[in-house]
Amino acid sequence: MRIEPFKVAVAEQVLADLKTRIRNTRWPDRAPGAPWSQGTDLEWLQNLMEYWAEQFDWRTQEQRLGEFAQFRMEIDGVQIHFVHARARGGRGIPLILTHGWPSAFLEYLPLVPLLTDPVRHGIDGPAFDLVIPSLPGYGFSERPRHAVNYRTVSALWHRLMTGLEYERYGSGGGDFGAGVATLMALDRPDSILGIHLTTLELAPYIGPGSRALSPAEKAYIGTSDLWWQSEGGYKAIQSTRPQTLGYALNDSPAGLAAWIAEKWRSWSDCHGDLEGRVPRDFLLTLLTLYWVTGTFTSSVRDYFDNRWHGIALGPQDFVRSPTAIANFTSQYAFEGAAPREWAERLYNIQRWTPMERGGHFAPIEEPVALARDIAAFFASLI
Amino acid sequence: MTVQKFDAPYSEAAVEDLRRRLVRTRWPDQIPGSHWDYGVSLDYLKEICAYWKDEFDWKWQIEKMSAFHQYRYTSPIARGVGIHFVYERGKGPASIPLILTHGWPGSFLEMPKVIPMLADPASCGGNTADAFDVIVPSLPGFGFSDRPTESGVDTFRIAELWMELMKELGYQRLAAQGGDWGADVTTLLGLHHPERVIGIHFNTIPPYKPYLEAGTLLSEVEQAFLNEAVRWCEKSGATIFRKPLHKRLLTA
Repeated sequence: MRIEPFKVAVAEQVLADLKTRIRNTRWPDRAPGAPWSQGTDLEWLQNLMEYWAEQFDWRTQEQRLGEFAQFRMEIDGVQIHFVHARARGGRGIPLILTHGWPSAFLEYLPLVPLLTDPVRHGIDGPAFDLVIPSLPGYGFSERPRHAVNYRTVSALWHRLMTGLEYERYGSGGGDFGAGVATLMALDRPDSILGIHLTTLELAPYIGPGSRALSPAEKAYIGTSDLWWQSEGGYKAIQSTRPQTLGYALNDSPAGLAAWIAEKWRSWSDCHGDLEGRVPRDFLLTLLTLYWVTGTFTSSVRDYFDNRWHGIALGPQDFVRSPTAIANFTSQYAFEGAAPREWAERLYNIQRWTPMERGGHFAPIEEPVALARDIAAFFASLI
Repeated sequence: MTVQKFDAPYSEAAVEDLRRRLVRTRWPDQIPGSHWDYGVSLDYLKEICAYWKDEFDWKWQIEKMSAFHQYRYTSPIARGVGIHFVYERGKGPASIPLILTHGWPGSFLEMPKVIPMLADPASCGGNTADAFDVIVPSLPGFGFSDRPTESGVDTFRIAELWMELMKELGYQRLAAQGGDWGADVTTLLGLHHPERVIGIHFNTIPPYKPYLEAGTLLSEVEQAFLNEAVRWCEKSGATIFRKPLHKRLLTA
């Protein structure tokens, strides 16, 4: 297992080309109707693009990223990038935190100071050794040539953690990261202290032999179905023709920004004002990361691979590891709030925290609330 | 004048800009050996884009298009949206007016091969008695038709617009043909204007699901068709299958 230090350093030429492309954007018409009603608003995007080309300073962001110790580990011939932040003053609880789509390891960086040195930030609880990887095919991680599903990633993460000499560890995440954490606990319960999730990525088995749905569960499924009908277009295309979409979005910064920013706006607790919730410089750091690494296409293969080469949960699948769910349900486009009994079908729920604020991107939106919940949960396990 | 002669414009600058963009294409990677599994094949797309950049002659295509008589039509019902159309009068004693409607992702360019066969059957070994006056519009927001700036330009409004256009051209009665969105528009022409529509012809099954009384039994082949359609939607990503037309519109 080779581990090498990694430093983010993007070639000047790539950044210059990015600026040229932004300035050369060929804009479509403004859509009829209310702003955002047919997708990312033209004026908003033009404004963001102007800032991206003329004011956003990637080098400043790069310098900030350089403050986090980063590495690449070769696992099965694939380079996996990760941040490794050890607890201040000794060994902490090992915890691997996994992001989802359309996000990156960047999403979890606000938790690094809070969880490696909680006392200093007024957080009760133990300190952690954090491992924050980039999913295969995202950012600076390579993607294997074969299909990659939650289970594939969970196996890679186990190799990563044992490679770092962590035998038992916690796992946390949201979106795809929640799916990965779940599979880590299902497949290797002996290695897992507990898992902490901020979204319910996987639907439990509700087929023959399962308990009848409660009224709250039925209501949740109803809301969720409506959400998929009105908001699910991205998944339909990403799970069937990711490559075709990739040609467009790998070639156009404006296209990439429109596609990704719209999801951050819909899924965060922003009331329609994305930049009131997610700082512009963070958003552009994320977009620049997708752009310079050319990983949009490989990132959306997750949707294809999990759909056609995925795993199906059956009645026998139950996560016995202690599980905490910080239920962040205040998305701008409300997806529904799962009731506890829904989660209990699949998980051994030991901690259930309904969050008053915060949507899909909890580590960016509500880092302190999330860090407190993680610390309190793992404190209860040791 | 609500109907004006139109020639497809050629712009050297637009062609140059297109070439520059093709030259600068930033290609994604592809899973080696995956061909078309995840979407368009990288090798195929690179090849077609190289041809587009180096060999394809847009100017010549524009010249070919200009062999057809083209016009633009504006009317209040379109709220300022100009409609481009090809109009070839039939070479025969009693040509039937026929409006051909394309769909997505198509354009009026789907029709050039059939236009002479329909308008001038004698030139293709047919009979002059079978000639049509052929009208091929570009749907609003497609090709040389204007792009609507307000919501609500749906197939219902487009069908009304087609009726207006045909009246403007002096036709009280007409035949209609289409596929994809064109089949949708063509259905509505037949549905709302039976007195003016001679007949309708489809090359794809229109998107409307017929009204079925509760308890209606489907035939085996109908059920097989629906099952196949559901499988197709699943595989190709469509999330909505068959829009239900308002119940009252499709009662028996």
